[in-house]
Amino acid sequence: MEYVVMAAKAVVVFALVSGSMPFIVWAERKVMADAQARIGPNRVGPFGILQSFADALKLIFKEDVVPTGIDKRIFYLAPILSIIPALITFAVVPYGGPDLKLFGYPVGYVADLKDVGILYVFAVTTLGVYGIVLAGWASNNKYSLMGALRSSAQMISYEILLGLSIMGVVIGSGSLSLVEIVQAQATPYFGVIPGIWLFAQPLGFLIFLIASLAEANRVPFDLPEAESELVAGFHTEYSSFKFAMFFMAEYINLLTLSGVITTLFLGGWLGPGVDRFPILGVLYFSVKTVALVYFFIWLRATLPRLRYDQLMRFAWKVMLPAALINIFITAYWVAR
Amino acid sequence: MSAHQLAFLVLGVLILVSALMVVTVRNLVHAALFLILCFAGVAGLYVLLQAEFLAVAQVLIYIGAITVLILFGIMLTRKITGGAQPPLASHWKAAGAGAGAFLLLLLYVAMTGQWQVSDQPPMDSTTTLGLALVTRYVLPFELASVVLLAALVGAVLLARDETR
Amino acid sequence: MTTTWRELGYLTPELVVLLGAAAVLLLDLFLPRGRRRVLGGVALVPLGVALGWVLRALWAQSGGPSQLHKVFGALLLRDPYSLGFDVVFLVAAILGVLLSLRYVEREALPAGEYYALTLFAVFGMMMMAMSAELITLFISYEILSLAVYVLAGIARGRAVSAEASLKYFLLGAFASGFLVYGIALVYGATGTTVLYDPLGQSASTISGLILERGLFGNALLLAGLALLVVGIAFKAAIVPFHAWVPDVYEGAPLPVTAFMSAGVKAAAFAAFARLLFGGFRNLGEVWQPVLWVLAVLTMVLGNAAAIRQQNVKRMLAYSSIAHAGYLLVALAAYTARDVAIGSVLYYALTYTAMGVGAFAILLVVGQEGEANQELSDYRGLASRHPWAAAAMGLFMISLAGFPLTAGFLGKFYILNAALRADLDGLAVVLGLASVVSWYYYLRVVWFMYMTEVPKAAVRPISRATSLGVAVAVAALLVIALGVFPSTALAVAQMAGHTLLPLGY
Repeated sequence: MEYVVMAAKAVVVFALVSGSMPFIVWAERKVMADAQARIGPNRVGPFGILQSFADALKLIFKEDVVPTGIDKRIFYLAPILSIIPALITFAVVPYGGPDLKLFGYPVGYVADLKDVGILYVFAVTTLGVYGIVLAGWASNNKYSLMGALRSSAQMISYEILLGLSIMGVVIGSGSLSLVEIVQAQATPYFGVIPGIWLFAQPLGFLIFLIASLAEANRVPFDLPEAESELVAGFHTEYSSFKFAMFFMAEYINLLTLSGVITTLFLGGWLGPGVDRFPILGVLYFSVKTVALVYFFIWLRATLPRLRYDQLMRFAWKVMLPAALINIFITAYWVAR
Repeated sequence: MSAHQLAFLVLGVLILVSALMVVTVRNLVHAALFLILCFAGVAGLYVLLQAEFLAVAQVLIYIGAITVLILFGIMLTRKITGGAQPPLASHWKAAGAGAGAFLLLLLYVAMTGQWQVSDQPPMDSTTTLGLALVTRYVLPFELASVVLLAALVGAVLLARDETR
Repeated sequence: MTTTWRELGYLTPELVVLLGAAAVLLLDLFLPRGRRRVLGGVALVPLGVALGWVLRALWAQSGGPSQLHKVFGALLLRDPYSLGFDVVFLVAAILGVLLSLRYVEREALPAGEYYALTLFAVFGMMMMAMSAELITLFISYEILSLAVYVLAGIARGRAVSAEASLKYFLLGAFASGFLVYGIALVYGATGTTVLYDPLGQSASTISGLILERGLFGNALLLAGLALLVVGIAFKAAIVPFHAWVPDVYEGAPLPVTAFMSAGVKAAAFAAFARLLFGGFRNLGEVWQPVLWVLAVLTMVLGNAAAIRQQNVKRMLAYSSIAHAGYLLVALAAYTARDVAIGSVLYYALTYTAMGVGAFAILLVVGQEGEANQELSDYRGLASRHPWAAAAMGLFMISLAGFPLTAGFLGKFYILNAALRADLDGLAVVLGLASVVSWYYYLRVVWFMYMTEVPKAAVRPISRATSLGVAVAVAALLVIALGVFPSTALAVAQMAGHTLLPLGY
């Protein structure tokens, strides 16, 4: 029975996450348009909200162009490899507390991996790089290959930061489990300020935010697909549904990262009144996550792309020492 | 056959077949992909053994970092990117015989030897591992950093541009 | 279980060497390019300090009872045995750095990394000699290995150097694999990785469990031991795991070859003896015949190959294989443990002095880009450069094992151990092998003293002070160890005894 419940939860979460993706795309286009003093999509449905669905239909019915001289099996495998990790990360992200129960079963999260929790998130996130690397290689196109190379170097560099930056949170919470990390944020500082890690770990939060942007290939770290330099990089040669899969993976990653940041630094499902009405937790989690998504879109509208050498230097010479200092300070503070 | 045994069997076949493909397949990128599959199978074995931390570390390090770097290396080496390499070196018969004999020996040893099986139940693995690394095994743990430093210095030295 | 500052104090020489490595790396960063030659001198400081500490500690214990400290639980043992091997490593390293000072500058090698890696390698060796636990042993082995792989290929401009490094690395990675596999099997059979407890306080060690549980015929344990032996035999350049030796020794820069032929081999034997006489002493009947065969193979093949070489560097490479064989004879004499271990230590020290000395002369005679290493380059050396020839002659007759040199006494003690262990056959092979080696060692002497070379073909030799000092130190050591062996021998024997179980 336990497994049935878990499977049911997984299906619901999967549906919600992938179902929200068209709306994120729409939101991005609308916000970008606002920022650039344009109107944005406004024809399909009220406020153009159905634009993404129209685009999806268009993509599916478009001709599937397969370039010559490519490695076919890998060419087909790559989009799948890029979307699976994006989808399965959410399995450990708690969107409601352990008190949120339906028919006596906790439904606040799909699974709580007590021993590894956050490490699972990283392990799965790192798999995302294969979609990009293999797509770039299989396309038999030098721009795609360069995108793939950039991506692998970038992701490996920033993965280290991703891991180091949350060490402060892990040390402070004393657990790797995402549920317990959220619970550790329940006690307010001085009785009034919300006890979220954002306030105790500002440096860790900043580094994690930047590193996760890089992991998700979002502006200003979208070098693997830089249109102006690499003609869209790793997915130049992809069209139709395969392109749609890359597109989906990217936005689901955005959502997942927002969810993870919410959990680690913004108190997850916590908020006023959650202890009495656990269902409020889902609302709080959603609001925080959507706010972060909005923030990421805002960044895209504001910041220019980094140059490649700046990107690497920034990771190794600025962020890495900062992350290490953060760990030392936190460890001292906890051991004290 | 229990579900546990079935899972072990499936993983075992997966690991062995993909390992075999790694060394026989002609295309280096494909070989690297099979290597990923092999590592994933090993991670699965760790899960079966209730060593979740090791499983995740396996994915994070071997699949997420090492194989990516291998692919990176293959792609940077232009000549071997696309073309098929001769899969077998010239001495493959002798090497095969040696490896086969070694395999038989190990099989024999694994079948006949008495393993030392711990009678304690498996513990909270991450905590146990973490504590062991900073208490009993703190020395090897620290020495590993010297290994990494020496390797780092060496790698930079051998790989850096000659002209600078 | 907690490690105190006192315990860390026992690791002073190791920590000094490690800090020295860090200091060299940092200095390299801040020194202008032209000033980097001082780095060699900087590297000598920690080596000298460590050697002083080690000698003082040995001196303090040579009269009274030997002191034995467990550091980090039972992972490391600070005993006279490890101190004795530290002397060997540090002497090899100091001589190696002295040989490098001029060479690194002449061949434009990256000085900072060169000396830092040398110090890392020494650190690895010292940890290896102290390790009484397999995981620690393996990691120390890797520190040593990685540093030496890179050192072998540090002259990137020369293709042979790069080839040497790659070959060494690939085969070495394979050997590491064997070692790890062996550790895994031994752990599977015993449930512990601690080799032995010289104080007899803990029974859950490999040596204790073999006795307690009667694991004598356990296939897992035996297979694990075999794999461990393979892993270490590779580093010690024992036949049939020696295929890399000639190419790597020839391809690596000369000072590196000198350093590794003495240091790496000594480290491997230090770990070997600790492993066999400590952890697996109760399986002596099993491993003794294996070592017997390996020793014979190593001595025969090493000498047979050395005879045919015209290149002196390559000849010394093959002859170093033969010397590994002589050391193996001592290890095989396990029923005469009380003298065997001491003789290993003594021979390791003498081989360091005479082997590194011989390589130093190669540097003196050799020219830029490792030219002038053929036998014919030694024609008439005696009349042109009598001192260099005399030193080379001394090293050659010592390597050959002539009386009144260190090499003779070293072999004598090994023979003594072999005979006391009733290994008559092995002793005979050792004797015959030495006689064969006379041919190729004395041929060098013959070329130097008995042949003349036309004036026009005379080439200059290198007159760097550092080389001269290295040659002088090595020659003095060879003579001192050969003529006044008693102190060194007493210390070696005392050190060897610490490996033995209490009340042996």
